[in-house]
Amino acid sequence: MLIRGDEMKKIILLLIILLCTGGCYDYHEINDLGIVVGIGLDYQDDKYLMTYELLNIQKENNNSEIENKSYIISAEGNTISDAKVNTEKKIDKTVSFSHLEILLISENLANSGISDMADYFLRNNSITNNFYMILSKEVLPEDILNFKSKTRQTNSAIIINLLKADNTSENIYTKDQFDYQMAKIKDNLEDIVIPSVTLKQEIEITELAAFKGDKLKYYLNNDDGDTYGLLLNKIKNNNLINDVGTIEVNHKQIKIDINNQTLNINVKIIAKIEKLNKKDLSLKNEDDLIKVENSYMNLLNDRINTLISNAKNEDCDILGVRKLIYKKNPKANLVNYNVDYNIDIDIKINRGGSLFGVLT
Amino acid sequence: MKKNGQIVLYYFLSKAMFFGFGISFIIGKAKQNSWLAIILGYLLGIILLHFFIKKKMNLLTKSILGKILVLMLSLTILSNTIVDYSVQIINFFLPETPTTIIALSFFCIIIYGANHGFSGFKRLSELLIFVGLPITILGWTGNLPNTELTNFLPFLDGIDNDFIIAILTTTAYSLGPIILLLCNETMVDKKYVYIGYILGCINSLIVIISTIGTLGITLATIYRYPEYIAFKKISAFNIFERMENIFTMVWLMDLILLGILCVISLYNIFKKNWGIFLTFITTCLAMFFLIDIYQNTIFMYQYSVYYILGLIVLMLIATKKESKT
Repeated sequence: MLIRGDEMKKIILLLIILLCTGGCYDYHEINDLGIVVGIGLDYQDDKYLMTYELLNIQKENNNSEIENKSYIISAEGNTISDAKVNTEKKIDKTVSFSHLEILLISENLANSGISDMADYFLRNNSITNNFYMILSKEVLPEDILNFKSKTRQTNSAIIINLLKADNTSENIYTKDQFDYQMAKIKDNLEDIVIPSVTLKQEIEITELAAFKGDKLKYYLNNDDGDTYGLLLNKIKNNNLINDVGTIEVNHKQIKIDINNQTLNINVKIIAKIEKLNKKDLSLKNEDDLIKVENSYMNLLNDRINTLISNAKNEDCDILGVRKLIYKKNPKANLVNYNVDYNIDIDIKINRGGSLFGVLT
Repeated sequence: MKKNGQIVLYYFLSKAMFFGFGISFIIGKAKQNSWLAIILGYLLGIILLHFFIKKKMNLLTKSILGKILVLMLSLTILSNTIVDYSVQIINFFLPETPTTIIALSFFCIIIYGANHGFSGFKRLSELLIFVGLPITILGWTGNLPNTELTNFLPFLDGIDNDFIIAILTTTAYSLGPIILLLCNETMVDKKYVYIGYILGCINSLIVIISTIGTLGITLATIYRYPEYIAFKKISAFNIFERMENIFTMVWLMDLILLGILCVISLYNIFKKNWGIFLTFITTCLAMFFLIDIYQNTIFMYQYSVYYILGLIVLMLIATKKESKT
């Protein structure tokens, strides 16, 4: 059967489109990819040490032994690009950053400033920008990424899972991703706070690290970390503990705004009692319940004051006061700003549990 | 053609030039006031559209002057479309594939589409709306949890000449393709043109609000494709993630429709073979000069706005002369 001219044109056109849109140029077998899930970055003696945590995508060996799901490759260089090139020279696969989850930075790098590296990670099209920056406290990022975990997950996945658990004050969200943090540093309207991890028996979450500009300034202690998490809605189920007992925050409404040079912090909490310590308290008595509520209001008030005062002492604006001032009045002086604080806390306990008082 | 089909066509085309050129340029100029620039730009567009719609624009190509103006507008939009499409594919889908293959495949698609004539083009747009609209709605809603309205503060601060440029950009990029469509359309229903144009305005407005609300001004101005990066941040129920490439399909559809319209305009001015030849030359020039040799498309952002606006004004004058004669 002969093919007419028109049909021939269509067939040629179809073949051209098929050839052009097949995407063969960008085709990579998954086994040929070095999938980077975490990057560790250290800065020592004017040199960057870069470590990649790569997924181990080889099949299990014949003895069905479970191998670690990741391995690391490290190299150093005078610049970040240099360190990257040197690291990738050691990888016999095409490096893919599309599944990058964390950037683990060392204290040395955090102390010397992190702005310099930001441009590299955000400009590079091949690196996804949906990853989190985490500080490696008292241990090198390389050691954390090289840790052999009991769970045999990748270390990057362990860190992310720890941070996404509901009960940590360092709980991370989309707005904590690397590019958002870098934008905050560039804006210079608030100081960033990032989670930190360390290595003991296992990888552990430790204190939050507060920065001044692009340099590490101090670590928030546990109480400050919890209060910070509560104020910024980062903790879903946090407990407040004092000598009266323990309450669990069920629902909270936080409002932080600025009005006439006064920073108003309004906290409304609905909580349930987890434990009572004082034997003389009875929840049948309304006055006692108010006493319990007041004790936690005082506790939280003290904690917020301590958080603010510690941050002030370190000259860090972790609550974003400058940003609030700027949004309200863009022409205001943000260098020598001075604001008063007004803390308004309302805690209601709506669930006392099965017991009216203390049993033993 | 069904009347609601006209709405679809005008809706698609009034927002087609925004991706890549429009959104990042408007946000860069108008910052947190971009939403206002979009509204004012489209309002200006509606006013200008009101003058155009009264005339029989399809008669414009009967005169030499009209032909030249339509040709200039077609080639400008076509080259923008080719660059936009190629750069999008290179950046997001096929980073290692040579530009030649990407641009020439686009050339083949738009020629194929244009060969089916204006009715085929309309049918294609009616078909694509069933894919495009759900994806667009998913994209908008997906970023709602990330949208912070405080990113639009301080309200109306920093309104200057750049804000005016952002308004003009909105008008030029939304009106240019619409005028090209009017030049090819014989039966125009005013009401549906306005509805389609306003729907396009709402779409662009939501993209701006979603982008700035998600990224904030600093990131939205520093990223080359902020609307794409905003899509990257979508994470619905921690399950649906990394769907940005699906959401950007809508922009590819817009660009293909726009490319086909440009080629149809060239077919109306010249014979078909000349139209194909001109499209091929434009593709090659856009591909080699703008992407591979010059390697910088920024100047297109800066100057094509004034060029398209100038052409729109000239066409308005030309149509007046035409109707007098």
